[in-house]
Amino acid sequence: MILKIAKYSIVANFKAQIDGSIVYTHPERNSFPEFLTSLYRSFPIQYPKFFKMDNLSKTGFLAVELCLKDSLAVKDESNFNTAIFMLCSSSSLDTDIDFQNTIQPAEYFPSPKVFVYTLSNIVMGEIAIRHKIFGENTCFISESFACQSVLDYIYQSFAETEIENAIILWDDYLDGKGESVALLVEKENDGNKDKMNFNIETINNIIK
Amino acid sequence: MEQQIVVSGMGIISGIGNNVDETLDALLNMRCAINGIKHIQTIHNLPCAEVAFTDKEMKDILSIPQSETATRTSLMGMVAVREALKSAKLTNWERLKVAFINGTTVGGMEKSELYYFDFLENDKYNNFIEAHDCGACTEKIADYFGGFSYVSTPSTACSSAANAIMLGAELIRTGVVDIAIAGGSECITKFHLNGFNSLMILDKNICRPFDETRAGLNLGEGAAYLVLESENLAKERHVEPLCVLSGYGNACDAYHQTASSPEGDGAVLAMSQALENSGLRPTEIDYINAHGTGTSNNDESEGRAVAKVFSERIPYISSTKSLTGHTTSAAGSVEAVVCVLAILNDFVPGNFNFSKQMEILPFSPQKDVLRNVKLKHVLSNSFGFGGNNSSLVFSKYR
Amino acid sequence: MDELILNLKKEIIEVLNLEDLTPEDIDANAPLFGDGLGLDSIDALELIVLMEKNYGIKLEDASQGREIFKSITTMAAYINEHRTI
Repeated sequence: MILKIAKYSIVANFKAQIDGSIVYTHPERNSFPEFLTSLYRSFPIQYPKFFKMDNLSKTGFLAVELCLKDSLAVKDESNFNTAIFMLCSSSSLDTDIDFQNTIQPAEYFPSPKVFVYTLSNIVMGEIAIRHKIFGENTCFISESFACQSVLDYIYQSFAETEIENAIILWDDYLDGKGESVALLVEKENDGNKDKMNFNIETINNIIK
Repeated sequence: MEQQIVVSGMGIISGIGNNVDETLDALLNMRCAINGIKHIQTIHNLPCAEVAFTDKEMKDILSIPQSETATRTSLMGMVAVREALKSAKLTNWERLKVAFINGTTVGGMEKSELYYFDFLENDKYNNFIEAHDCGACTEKIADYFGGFSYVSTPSTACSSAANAIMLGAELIRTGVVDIAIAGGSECITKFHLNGFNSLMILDKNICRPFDETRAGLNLGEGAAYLVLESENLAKERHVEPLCVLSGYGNACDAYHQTASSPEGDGAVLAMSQALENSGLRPTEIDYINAHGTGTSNNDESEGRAVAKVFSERIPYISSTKSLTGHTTSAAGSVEAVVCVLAILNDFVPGNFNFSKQMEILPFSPQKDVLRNVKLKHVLSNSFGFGGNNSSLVFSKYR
Repeated sequence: MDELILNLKKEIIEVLNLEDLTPEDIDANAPLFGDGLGLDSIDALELIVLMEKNYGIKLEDASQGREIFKSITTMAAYINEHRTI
């Protein structure tokens, strides 16, 4: 069985790319959160929930938004056979620190809206809500995107379950620096034979 | 023909017991571990179910020097893995490929919050900075035993351990590993105690899952692991399987970051997938160990989902979280051990502290423990924030 | 009261990340939840924290929020009566 990368996107270094072409460059390099907001505004979507998300979720959300843009792979109604696999290194540490700051003895007001994002898998939840994805989803803590054991697991899921396609997301945000890569992966068919294969070499090339 | 995946061993430590035997005894006698907090310093007077041992005591039990850097999550994990390995007669496994899959979400956070200001002001506890990560806790446990060819940390909040078990099974079925030690570990921290409290989903008293008057959950802590392998390998190693892992399913609720959909869509999908995966009809399930946290939202959502999937006949159902507390990332494996014990010892665990049926549900949970009930197939639910819903099916061996 | 209502609008916009709204966009009598501003249960909890942080009002029972947060006007009226700071 061969898996193909139907489309991919990168949000990093104050730029956004789809399939290797830059689609947005932020004019400044001071604030990654500002870049995220500007990138969001460059879309025609109206999704006010975006502003409630933490920076990790926004970074991942936008990469997936770019990846699925103009795509028929993930439909407008319920997607039962789409899976989401996420990898990240720092997990929700950035937001964890924010939450910790709301439970200091001197200024003790635990914030529910911050707490809700102190879990890296909420990123997948946000993507699932936005794109109505009901399939399998798992978040792995990994040092990097190029993790063979997780790739093996993804292959396994395609081979043994009903999933037709999957969003593979690398998403990391810590201390003002974020990066995300979203791949739309599907089984090889007549329509995607010319696309890149989904394997560790390709991932390494994409994230270079 | 495809191999059955069997459970050949297990280990557990939680508020209701420091090992499998104590856990069984507590379940049969409905001993509730939910009480005041002892191990962390907090201003809150919220009942929790803590593991009885201090970190010091666990280090002694494990023959680890007191000076060694180890988080509570790792220590509980080591205690439970040790019991699991022993029960599966796994002492050394040179020729076998063994995976360790550990679900955790808070990792070493209980030390980070204790030493937070020290990290900023001095170097006394800097060793604990690296110990903070979820992955670091998993590796600490793995390194204590050594010899694992595959180590992984799925981190999906309250479904982490269930997902770890699923990953373990998949790795065996595809031949990546021969054996998987899979489960989870989580200790109570001020961080998530305050967090859950800010969501106003903690009960100030002992929780009442599936009760009309339920008012929230109680946090718990613990670690539990199943030893999974193919039936053939267990035979080869002369180990009698405890039960079979017949099937599993994972689906997304896609509704809200922390709340479940009112109709329990994700739960319906996960349970249905687990049933299909195990080749069983809903009427063949004898008992459901529910996620049953005792929150207004979960019990309504899960209750509706159960009523829908099991519309023909609702099996015995109970939540054991009013005994163990909600052990969050470890819940999937703590409750897996409960299910295996129920199958092995012919009993239905009781839903402690239940008294009034929920008006919107057509069923009540099994309030008291029921002895001498032969359970052939059991389903266990674990639902995590983010809508990550997992269900496992265990069956009697032979 | 008008000043309180204006301040509340500003605070709510900030605390709930209602990025694209200004105080002028919010009708003080319109429902906050459901179809109104489309706020959800987490927003309700955050408003409970706001009331304690800025006005010294402690709500023990989340369900009280249903009445209090019907609109900015009802919220202002409640704060006016119960504030301690």
